[in-house]
Amino acid sequence: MLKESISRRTFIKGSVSLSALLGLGAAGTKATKGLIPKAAAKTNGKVEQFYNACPRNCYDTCSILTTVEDGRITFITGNEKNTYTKGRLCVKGNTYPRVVYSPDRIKYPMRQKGRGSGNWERISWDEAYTIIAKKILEIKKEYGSTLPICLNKYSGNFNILNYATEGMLSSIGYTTRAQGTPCDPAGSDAQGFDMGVAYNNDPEQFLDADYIILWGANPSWTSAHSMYFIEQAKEKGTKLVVIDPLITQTASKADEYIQVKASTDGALALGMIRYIIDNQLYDKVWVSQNSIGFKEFSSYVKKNITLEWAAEKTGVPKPVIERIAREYATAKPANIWIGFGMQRHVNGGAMVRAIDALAAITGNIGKKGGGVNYIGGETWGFNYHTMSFGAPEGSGGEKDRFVNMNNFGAQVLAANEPPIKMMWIACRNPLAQDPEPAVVKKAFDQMDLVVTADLYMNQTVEYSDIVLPVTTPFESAGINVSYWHYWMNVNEQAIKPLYETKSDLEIAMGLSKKLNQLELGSCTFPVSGDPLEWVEKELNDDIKELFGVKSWDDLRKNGGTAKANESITVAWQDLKFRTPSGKYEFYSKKAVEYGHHPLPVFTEEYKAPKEYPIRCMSPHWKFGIHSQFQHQDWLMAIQDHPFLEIHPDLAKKKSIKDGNMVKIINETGYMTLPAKITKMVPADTVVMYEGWWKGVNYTENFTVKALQEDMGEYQKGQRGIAFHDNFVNIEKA
Amino acid sequence: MAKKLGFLVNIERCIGCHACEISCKSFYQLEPNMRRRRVTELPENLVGTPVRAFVSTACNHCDEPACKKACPVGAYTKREDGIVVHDQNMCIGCQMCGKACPYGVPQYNPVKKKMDKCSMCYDRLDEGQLPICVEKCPLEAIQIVDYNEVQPSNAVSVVPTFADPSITHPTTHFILPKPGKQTRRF
Amino acid sequence: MHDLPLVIFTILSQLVIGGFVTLWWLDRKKSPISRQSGLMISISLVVLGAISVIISLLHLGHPFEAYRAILNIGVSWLSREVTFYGIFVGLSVLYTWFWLKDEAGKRGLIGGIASAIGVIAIFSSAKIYMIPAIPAWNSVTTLFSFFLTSLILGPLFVGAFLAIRSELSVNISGISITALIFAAIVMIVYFSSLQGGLPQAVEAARLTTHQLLFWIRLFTFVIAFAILTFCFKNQHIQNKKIYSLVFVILFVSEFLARFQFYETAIHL
Repeated sequence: MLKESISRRTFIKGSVSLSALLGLGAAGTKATKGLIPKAAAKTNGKVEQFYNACPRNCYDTCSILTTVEDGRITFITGNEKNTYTKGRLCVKGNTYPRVVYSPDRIKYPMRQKGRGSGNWERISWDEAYTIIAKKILEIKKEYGSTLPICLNKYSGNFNILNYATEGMLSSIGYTTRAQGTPCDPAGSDAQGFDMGVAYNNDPEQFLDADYIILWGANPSWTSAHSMYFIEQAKEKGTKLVVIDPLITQTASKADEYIQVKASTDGALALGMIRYIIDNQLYDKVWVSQNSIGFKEFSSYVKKNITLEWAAEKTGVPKPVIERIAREYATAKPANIWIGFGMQRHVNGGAMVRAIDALAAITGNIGKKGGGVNYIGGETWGFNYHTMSFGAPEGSGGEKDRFVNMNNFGAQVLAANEPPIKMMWIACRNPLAQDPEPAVVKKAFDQMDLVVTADLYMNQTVEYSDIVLPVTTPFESAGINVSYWHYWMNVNEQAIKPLYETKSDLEIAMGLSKKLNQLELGSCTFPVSGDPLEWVEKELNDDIKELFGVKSWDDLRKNGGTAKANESITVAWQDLKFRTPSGKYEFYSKKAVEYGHHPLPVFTEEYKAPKEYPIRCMSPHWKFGIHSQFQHQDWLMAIQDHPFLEIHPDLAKKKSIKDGNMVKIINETGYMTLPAKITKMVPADTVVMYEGWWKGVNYTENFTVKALQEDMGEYQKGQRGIAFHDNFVNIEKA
Repeated sequence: MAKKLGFLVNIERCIGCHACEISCKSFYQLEPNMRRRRVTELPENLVGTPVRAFVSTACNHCDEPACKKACPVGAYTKREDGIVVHDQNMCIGCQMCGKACPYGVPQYNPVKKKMDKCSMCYDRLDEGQLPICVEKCPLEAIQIVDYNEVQPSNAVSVVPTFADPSITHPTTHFILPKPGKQTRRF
Repeated sequence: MHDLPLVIFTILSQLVIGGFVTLWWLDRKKSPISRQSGLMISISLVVLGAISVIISLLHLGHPFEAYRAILNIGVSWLSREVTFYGIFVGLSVLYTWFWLKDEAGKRGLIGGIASAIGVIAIFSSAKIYMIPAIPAWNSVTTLFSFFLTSLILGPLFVGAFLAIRSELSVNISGISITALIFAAIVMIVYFSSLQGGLPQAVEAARLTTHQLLFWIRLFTFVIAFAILTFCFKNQHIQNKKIYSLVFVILFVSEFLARFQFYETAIHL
C-alpha cells in the first residue's frame, strides 16, 4: 500500500510532446468562478494507492495503480513504473472499477433448485461448504476414490495464488482434470520440436526491429501495449507487414497487408523459404553452426515447394511472395510475431514450424529485436506452493485422470470406471467457451453436483447447482507474470472484499476446514493462513534473482513491478536450444516420436464440406477476453450485441442487407445474429467475435466442432482445437 | 496572445479501442450510459484501400460554441485558453445545449439531472497534467495543441461523421491515416 | 416522448397568446363583449398560461431552479422566451384585473403591450429551434408554423367561447381559413425543403411521413378546413357546437404536428 499525499504530480507525463504542446500550468488560466476542481473537491477523505496486476489471459498482463478513497476504488489505471504498461490500460482494463462495483456481481453463495431454472436461493458459506464436502466424501465412499470429481479450471485468473483450486483438488485425492489448453498448443509443440520450447523476445524490442511481420496476430485488439511499440517502430521507419486472412484493426495500420487464404500460412512461409534458398539469401553460417537437418529440409523444399504452388495455395501472387521474402531475408533484424489464431487449424502446428524455419534460415533467432515470437514461459518459475500438499492417505486411486479440455463434454461423458459425477469449475466458462456447447451441457446433466466459482452469472453459472462468489483482483492478494512481456507484477488487496466474496485460495482453505471437520484427514490443504504469507512462499531464490527483488513485500514497497534481468529477454541469445541435439532442429526426432513428419512440411488444410462452404472464424474481440468484460454495462453502452461480418459479395449472393438477421448453420447447430457488411473479411469467410453480451443468447462456439489441431500433446498434454476450421452455411433469417 | 487549445486526434495512430472514452468515464465516475468522449467508426473507404478506421471526439471547445448561446442560465464559459467549461452548479437541466451542439456533446446526467460534458480536464491542465484521455490513450493518438501557436500542416478540420465545422468552428483537428499497400484476394 | 412537456408548452403558450391577442383586438373594436365573458376568457387564458408554465418546468432537471433561466437573456433565445413569456403571463394577469375592474382604457393599453410581448415570446420560442444542429428545425418554416399555431388556435378558442356565450359578432372562420391555407403552404414548403436538405433533414421527412400520426394530423387538418369553409359560406350555421368541434379537431391536429416536430428531429 502506498499512501499518497494529495499534492498531485506536477510534471507533464507521457511522451506526447508536439512542439506546440502547451507549457501546461505555467499560464495562469484561472478556473472559472464557482467551479470546484475535482482534485480539490476530493481531498476530504483518506486517499490511498495500491498496486494491482491484471490477471486475465492476456499478453499484456498489466501492472495497475489503484486509487482508493475512503475504502472505495475511485480510479484504476496503469502503473507508470512498468515500461511496458506505461501508465495506461487497454479499454478492458479501464472498466475495472465497474468490474468491481457492477450491479451484476454474484454477492453470496447460492444454490439453484433445478439446474438452469434460475431458481436460486441464498445460502451461507458454511452451508455451501457442507453440501460440497459431504458430496466429496460420499463420492469417495461410493467409488473408492475421488476420481469421479472433475476440475475444469483455466485462464480466467492467472494469479499464481489461484492455483490453490488445483491444490485443493489434489489435496482431497486423485481427481479427473480438464487437461490441455484451447490457446496455443499446436504452435507451442511446433516451437518445442524446433527449439525445445516456445520462447519469445521481449516485446519492447519491437523498437529494435528493422522489419516486423505480424502473422495472424491482431495486437490492436489483443495487446494494445505491444501495438504502441509497433506503431513507434513504424513511425521510426520499420516496415510493418501484416499477414492475415482478415483485414484486422492491426492490418489496417500496416505498411503492407497481405491477405492469405486461411490455414495456408505454412505454404506462404515455405514459398518464401524456397525463394530465399534459391537466391542464396539465407544465413549459411547461422544454419551450419546452430541447426541440424537443414540439408534434409532444403532438399524437401527444393523437391516439393515452388513459388507457383505457394501462390496458388495461398492466394498471394508470386511477385508479392518474392518481394516479401527478399525484404524479410535482407532486413536485420527482422521480427515475426505469430498469433495464436493462426495455429487454430488442423495444420496449425505444421504451419508454425514452417514460419519458425523461415526465421531460422535467415538467422533471426537469438537476435535482439528479431525472433519468431509466439509465447514464452521463462518468468513463470514460481514455487506453486498451493499445489504441493498431495493426496491424503487412503483416498484411493493412483494418479489423476485427464480429459481433454478441448473436447470436454464428450470426454466427460465417455469417462468410465469410475464415471464423473461432480464438477468443480473455476476461472472458466465452458458452456460458452468450449466447442459443441450442447455436448458440454449433456455432460453437466450427468453430474450429481456442479460447483462454479465466478464473479458473474454467466452461461456456466446458470447451469450449475452451487455458485461461489469470488473476489476481483482488487479484493485479494497475489502475484502475476506474463507469457509475453518480462515483468512481474504485485497484486495488493486494495479494498475489503465486497459482499461475501472470497478468493479461490480462501475457498480452498474453507473447504478443507469443512472436509476435515466432517472427516479428519480427508484433505491435506491448510485450513487457514494469511494470503500474504502464501504469496511470499511463491518466490524462490531463482525468481528473486531473476527479477532483482528481495520479497513480494519488497516489490510492493518499490513500485509494485519489476522486470526480469536482460539475461533472458532475448530469446535463445546463447543459441543453446533445449532440443535433444541442443541445436535448432529442422529435423526433429521428437516430432516423429509424436507421430509427425520430422521436417517443417506443408500439411493440407481442412477442406470445406460441400453443404457448408463458408469458413466461420471467431477471433478475439476488442471489448472482451473470451467471455470476460464485454458484458459490463460500460461496454454494452458502446456495443450491445454481437454481429456477423460478411463481405458485400457474399451478402449480395445471399440477399443479405446490412443489419439483417442471418442464420448460421452447420451439423453442430445454428444461430442467428445481425449482419455487418464489410470488406474487412474475404468473400468465402464470415466472422463473429468472441464474447458474452449480457442478455443475449450467444456464444461464438455454437457451430464449432471439437475438431483437433495437429499438435499439442508434447508441450500441453493434449491437442488443441481448430476453432477457425469451422465451416457453415448462411442464409437470411 | 491568448491560447486556443484544442484536441489533435491522430487517426493514423488510433486503433479504435475506446480506452480514451472508458478511462474518462472511469476517472470522472460517469453514469454507465454517459460518454464524454466517443469513438466513432469511420467509413471503410476513408483512405482508398479498405481499412478499419475510427475517430475519437469529445467536446470540440468551439470558437463559437452553440451550447453557450443556447444555455438560458449562462452555465457555459469560454476560458481565455479556449476551453469551453460547463458549470454544473448553474445548470438547471433544460438540455437545450445538447440540442444546439452540432456534435451532440452535452449529455444529460440522469442522476444529477443536469447536463455534463468534457471540460478538457481543465483542472488537471491548470495543475500541469494532461487530460485523462490524452494521458491514457495506449497509442498516444490524442494531443492538446495550442492552435494559436501551431497549425500542424498534416491536420484537417473535418472527417466523415464530423459535422460541418463552419457552424461553430470547433478547435478539434485530425490527422488522417496514410493508406498502406494491400494484396487482397477479393 | 421525452420532449412531451415542450410539445404541450409550445402549443398551449401559442394558443394562449393567440387567444389573448384576439380578445384584446375584439375588445378594442368595441365589440359587444360583456364584462363577464371578457373576464371569463381572460381568466381562462391566465389559467392556461399558468398551466403551460408549470408543464414547461417538467422538462427541466431542476424545476425549482427555473428562475435562473432568465440570466442569459443577452445571448440565449431560450432565456428570452422564458423572460418574455413570463412577462406576458404577468401582464395577462394585470389585464384580467382590469376586466374585473372594467377599466377599458387601461385594459386596452396593457392588452396592447402584452400582445406585443406575446409576439416577441413566440418569435423567441421559434428562434430557439432554428439551429443548424437540427436541420429539420433550422428554417423560417419553424417561425411560421409557431405563429400559425397561434393564429389557428387563438381566435377559434375565443370564438368558440363567445359562441357558447352567444356573443359572437364577428365571423371567426375567415381568419381561421386564411391561417389554414397559410399553414398548408408552409407545410408543403417545409417538406420540399426537407427533401432537398441535408441527410438528417431527409431522414426527418421520411420518419414524419412514415408515422401514422402524420396521416391523422393531415386528416384532422382537412376535416377542420372543410367544416370551416362550410361555415364561412353558410354564416347562419355558426354555432357553439361547430366552433368547439373545430377547435378540438385543430388542437389535436396541431398537437400531433408539434409532437412529430420534436420526435423526428434528427440531430447532425
